Amino acid sequence: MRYLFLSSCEKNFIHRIISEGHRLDGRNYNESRNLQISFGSEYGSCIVSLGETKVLAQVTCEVTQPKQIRPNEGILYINVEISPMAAPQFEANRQTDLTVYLNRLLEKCYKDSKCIDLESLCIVVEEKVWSLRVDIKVLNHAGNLVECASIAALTSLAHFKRPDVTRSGDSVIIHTLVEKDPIPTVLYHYPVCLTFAIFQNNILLSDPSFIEECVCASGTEEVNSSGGLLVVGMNQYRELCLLNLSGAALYDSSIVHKAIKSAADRCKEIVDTVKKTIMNDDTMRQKRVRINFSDIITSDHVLSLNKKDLNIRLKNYNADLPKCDDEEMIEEFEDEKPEPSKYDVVPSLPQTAEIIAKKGASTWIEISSESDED
Amino acid sequence: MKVEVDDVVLPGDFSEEIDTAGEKGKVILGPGLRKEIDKVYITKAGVLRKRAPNTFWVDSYQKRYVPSRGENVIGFVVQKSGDIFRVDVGSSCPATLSYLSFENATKKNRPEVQVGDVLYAKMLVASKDMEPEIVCVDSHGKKGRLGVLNEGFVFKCSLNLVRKILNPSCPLLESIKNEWPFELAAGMNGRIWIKANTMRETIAVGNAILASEYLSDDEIKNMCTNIASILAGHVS
Repeated sequence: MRYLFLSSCEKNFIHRIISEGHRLDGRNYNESRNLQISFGSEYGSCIVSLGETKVLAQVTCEVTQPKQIRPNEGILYINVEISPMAAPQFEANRQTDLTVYLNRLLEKCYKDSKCIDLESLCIVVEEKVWSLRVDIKVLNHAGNLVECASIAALTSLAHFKRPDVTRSGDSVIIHTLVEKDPIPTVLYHYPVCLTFAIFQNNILLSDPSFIEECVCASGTEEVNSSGGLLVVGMNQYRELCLLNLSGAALYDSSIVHKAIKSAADRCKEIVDTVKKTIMNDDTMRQKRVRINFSDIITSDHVLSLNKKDLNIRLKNYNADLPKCDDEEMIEEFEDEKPEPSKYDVVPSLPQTAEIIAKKGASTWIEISSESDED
Repeated sequence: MKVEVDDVVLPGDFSEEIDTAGEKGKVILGPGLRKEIDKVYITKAGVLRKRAPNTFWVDSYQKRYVPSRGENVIGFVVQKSGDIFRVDVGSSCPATLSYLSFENATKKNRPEVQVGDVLYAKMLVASKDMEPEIVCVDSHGKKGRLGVLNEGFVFKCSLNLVRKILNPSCPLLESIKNEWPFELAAGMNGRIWIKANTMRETIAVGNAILASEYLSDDEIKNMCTNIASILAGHVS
């Protein structure tokens, strides 16, 4: 992985606006980005997008031999892939620290918390069990990959249905989906990982964007104390499943309490959304409605790229502007025209335009390029 | 498939207009077009454009910067090594910048550039097989607008957006310059540096620029007045 470089002016700017109580994209400290879940045509495939971060998850199953020490339990395997499609700094077919970190976190969250009934995946003790494999592919990395990937893993596991099996004597018959209804995976509880960025040791940001994630761990000349990223894994019953801190050490334990408190509410919210979307999807499938990823693509092809969440946004800015087709608006523009402009945009060097103050304007910009600048 | 100018094109398409123009005189091929033996093929998905008399190119949506000579770019100093700086301009490998390519720089009088600084520079060498090289002076040895950019904020956007806001017919900068003062440097590598009097105003500039990507000229004007009223506190 190539090292991603942040300039000092970006770091300073982010630190300053956050200490002033704002965020770059106009959210509040504890506000998360928009969560969207859509399902593919098969059971257990979904795309989860959290703002501009997008993750594809797919669960597959196969019959294997169980492990020696756990002869009556199925196997859960989680695999995370990050390709250059996610962000240009990643290289193809190479494991990065982030991949390993993400894989380990998700394993902790879903395997070690024992949220899946692995014993129900057993077919013949010591001989045949189902092995579930969760493949997670990062489509776009715009910060908070952990949360997005964990929601994707959870949704795909909860959505997945494995083929039914009947045993007659020694032979095992695996029925196709047409012959017998498939069986859903049993989940005891729904754990979700949430990320919090800690800035200057006392500010807690939920759902950090990419730049906030990068900046929070690094101090600047102005801000000595650096923060870090805190991952909280929690289920819908407010039970803690996982806690992971990367970055600087914490001086204040109350920040962890604060994080867990706000995580509890958010987890409930996420799990409810996940359950609701799966329910909706199930009823749609029972009505034989074809569901696949093409639903995500809007027919309005130009506007499909139109981002509603801007990376840089004022708090009150709304992307859905009223169209200026009223006569009043046109009149307004006409009224504005006679107002003399203080500044002028002129083309200077090729491919550049610059704003030059006209005479009598304030002197915040250098007026001419000809003057000797030593 | 045969295509015309102003059509949506895909890689592998070809246009007879380019070929016939090529028989008559010289043709300039821009990005997204390549000559294979005796025919010109399209290599990018986008819209085929033409400028009279004989310049053709493909307008496509792109975020990754491919260096080309003479463009102004914004880069971050990544490393100082000996007599060169390594500058990240968003291309596949970092660009080099000699410490002598600053105004009034000599072997004794070195420019003050730190790792992490933001530079506005011009692409001097951009070839397929070599590291790109950038300079902070023009051919007369003057710095002009180039050099280190202090404070402010840098953000990334698509290459199309940079071209759009630099287009003289784009009303965006015209509209916001009347509302509040700010400084702006747009690099052709999809990075824009902005600076205004306050943090809020800086964010407002960034907001206006990013929001203008898919808006028409009238909508841009409307959006700018909207942002200005938010900034002034009229809209809660």
